Amino acid sequence: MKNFRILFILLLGLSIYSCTDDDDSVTPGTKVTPNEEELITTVQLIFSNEFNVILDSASFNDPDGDGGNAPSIDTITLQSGTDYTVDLKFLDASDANDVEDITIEIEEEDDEHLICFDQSNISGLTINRSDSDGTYEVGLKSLWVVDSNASSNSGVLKLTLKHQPGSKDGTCAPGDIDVEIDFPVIIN
Amino acid sequence: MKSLVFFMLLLLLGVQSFYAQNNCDFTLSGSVIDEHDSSKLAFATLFIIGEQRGVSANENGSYVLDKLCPKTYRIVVSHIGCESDTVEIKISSNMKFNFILEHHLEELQEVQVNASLNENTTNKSQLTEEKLNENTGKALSEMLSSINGVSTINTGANISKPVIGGFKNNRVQFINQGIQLQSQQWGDEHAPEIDPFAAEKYSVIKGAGSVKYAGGVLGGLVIVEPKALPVSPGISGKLNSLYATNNRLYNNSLMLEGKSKFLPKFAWRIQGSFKRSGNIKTPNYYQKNTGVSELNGSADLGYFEEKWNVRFFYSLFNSEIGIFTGAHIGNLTDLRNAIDRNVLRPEDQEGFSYEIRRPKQNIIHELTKIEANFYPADLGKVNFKLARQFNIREEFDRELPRNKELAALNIPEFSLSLESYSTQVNWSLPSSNKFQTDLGVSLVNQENSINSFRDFIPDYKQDVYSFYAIEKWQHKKTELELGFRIDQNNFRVNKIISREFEEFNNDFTNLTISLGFNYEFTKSQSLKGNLTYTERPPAINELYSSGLHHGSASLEFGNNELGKEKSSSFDLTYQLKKDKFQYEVYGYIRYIQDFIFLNPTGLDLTIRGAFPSYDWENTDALVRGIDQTIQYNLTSNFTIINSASFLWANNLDANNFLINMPSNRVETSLKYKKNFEERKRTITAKVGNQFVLKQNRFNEEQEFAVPPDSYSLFFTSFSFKKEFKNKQTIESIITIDNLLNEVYRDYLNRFRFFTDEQGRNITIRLNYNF
Repeated sequence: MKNFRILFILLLGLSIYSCTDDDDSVTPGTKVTPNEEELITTVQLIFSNEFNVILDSASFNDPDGDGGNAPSIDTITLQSGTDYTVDLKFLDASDANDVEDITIEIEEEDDEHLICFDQSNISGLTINRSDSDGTYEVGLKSLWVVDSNASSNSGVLKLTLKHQPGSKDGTCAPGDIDVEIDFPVIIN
Repeated sequence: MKSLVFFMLLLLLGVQSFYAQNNCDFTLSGSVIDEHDSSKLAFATLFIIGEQRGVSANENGSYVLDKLCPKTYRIVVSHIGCESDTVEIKISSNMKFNFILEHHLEELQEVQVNASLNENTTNKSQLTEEKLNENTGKALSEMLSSINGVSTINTGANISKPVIGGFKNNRVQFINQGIQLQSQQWGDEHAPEIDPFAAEKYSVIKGAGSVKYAGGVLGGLVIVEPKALPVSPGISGKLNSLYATNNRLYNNSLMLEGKSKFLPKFAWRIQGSFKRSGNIKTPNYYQKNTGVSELNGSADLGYFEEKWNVRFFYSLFNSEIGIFTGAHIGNLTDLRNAIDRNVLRPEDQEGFSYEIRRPKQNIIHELTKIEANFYPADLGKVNFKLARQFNIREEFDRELPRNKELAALNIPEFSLSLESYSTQVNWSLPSSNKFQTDLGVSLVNQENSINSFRDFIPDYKQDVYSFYAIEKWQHKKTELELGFRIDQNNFRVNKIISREFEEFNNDFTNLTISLGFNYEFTKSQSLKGNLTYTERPPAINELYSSGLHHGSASLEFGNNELGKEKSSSFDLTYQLKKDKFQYEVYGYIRYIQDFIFLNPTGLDLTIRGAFPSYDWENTDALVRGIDQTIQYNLTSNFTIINSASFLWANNLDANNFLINMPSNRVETSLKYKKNFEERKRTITAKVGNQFVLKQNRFNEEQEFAVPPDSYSLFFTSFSFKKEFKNKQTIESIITIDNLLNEVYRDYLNRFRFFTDEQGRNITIRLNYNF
């Protein structure tokens, strides 16, 4: 029976050892700040006229980030024969009590960013970026000219925010995509 | 379940007979001799089957085995590069006996009789010394892929993981220094944290038949073992130095080991290696930011008493791996553009550079182990291991955060640390004539903490309690083995849901039963097989991953309702070893109930556009494969070797293929080897070709792009080895991989969308043993 005694002692040692490592480093229910690094949850397009009067806005909203609940996307409604000044806002609204304006950070690094507008099945809409980083356009501000005979046949406007550190050349080709949203467009 | 365990124990203990032994004071002594040139084989090892003890021959090939009883012993004699031999000797007095071994350096897939249980009926292949020396400087997984039937899954050229029988990650386990490697093995981009220079023996056991180390090993086991500590006094060592032209890699390793005359009970070894490489060159361009920097070290100290010994081992693995910038994508549009692109973007173009920038990985793995062996009188052998492993994994994105304050911190976007404690006791009972038993228990306790804002997997703790029993029966030419293992995995998970921690518990009880046989028709022919049922619990990523899997442009969602995988498999190996002709064929079939896989569920919309979304789900799967190796000695110097590996894998529920399976491949090589005995020189030259077929078994809707075309690569090597007095050897090896500078891409490289594979690479190695 000596052999069993040895085994038993070893097992006992084992079980004592295994009980010693039992500290809880995180307690359930504690609030943490999740992914603050690059999270953009909300994109707003604010449409104003030449007198800086806000006419309309459209937004993409996905406060819980990737996955989870599906995002909501507004339809952009434009009036034919109208000129719009469009301001873009990028927000981190993952915490409803602490909405962060990422637009400021993009403005600070405007030489690394470019916003691109890509239309499909839309006619008579001209979009021109109206701001600059000193060398190239940025796109946080843009001028939208809607012709009087403009039309949209289930048209889509693809809005892309490109991150182009060190490679910005005024075109949409370089860099990685930070934001890419397809907004449905209606022209009345 | 409890009653089953009890029954098994009863069964196993029942067949044991303990009997007293008298006059156990005889000795057996003699020499170990090479059959070909009658030279004495230094440091050959002798092992008594059933007593779990052995000795090493000294530098003159002489040995002494003492404390032998008047009975019949079975002794396994082995030597590096030799075929092991088992000899039965009846002891009745002090005896002299010379063991004769056949020297076979060019052994195909040397199946070593390791005297360790549960390995004789499974398909175990060890990297030969020659293959090891030809492959130094490569990552562990790349080295292993020179074993037929083992391929790799790569993330670029610097991160690779072994794929055994089509399985990888959670279905392949690494046993490093006798301890199961505990690290973030669930991801394709998480390479094993093992320095190949810190060990000497690398073997792969295909299939789940070996129950001693781990359960649920559907693919196979990778076993990394150090060599034994030195037996005779003095200091010796090994210096490996190499340089590769393609990425200007230099890798140096120094090992020193020794034993003092004044402290004969101690033996030690220290080892360190340093590796640095720069941008990898494809035939047409450099891959920007693909350098690697590695600094590893280990120390081993042993104390040996007659009835017990203890070994302390410590190793530190530290690596920084640059990730090709052109493989960094923001969304699916970026990926599609990359697939359609023929030339690199200007921002991804760079010449040669050693600099490692973002995106990159920083990996640290630390292992501290105490191992003790006890040989209590008449009680066999008890092996006890206690180990702590600490693994830090940091993954840095290409760009710093936009927020200036966060950017200034320069912290990794994804960071994990995993601390694991393992305890393991194995008891090899003294054997009766035909029976041999191993019993073991182990306990693993681990804690994973997320140290970044990104939490692709959650914080968790896991406890694994295991018990196993192996019974071996050996009679004449037949060997039977019954293995039984039970693992209890308990997960406690803290997952953030809607900005609050929520606790989850998942418990799994997993069973492995294995029945194996090995039948030697003649000395040159054998058939072995294994029937195994094993259960694998879902791993943490399969249960709880959530969100964007960076680098694979897909959303991945775990499912904590997943059931465990249940695999029934049959493996069969036939071996023929004649003078001129050697043949091995290994076939397997695995039916896996509730196979856990990523099921595509369509597109999910995010702020970066739509991403393909996958859920971890259960299905039924069928996997079959054949690995075959033929070796023929054309003359005494020329040898031709051909190996082929084929695999079929189906998802039975969806009635389609399991994707990301290695494609079929054939490798042929011709080798010339000549020994100039009088001048103590050996030269070896080799030329070969590897042909990898296109993977045609894929599901179109699940692939971003059609699998790459088949490719054919030529390689060659030349080595020169000289032996000096007092066992010093110097060896120089030149290998050329991708001799014709072929442009190709491999299906199992996750960067196949972004870049060609490495071009021609000439490696010059210098190995000095002293």
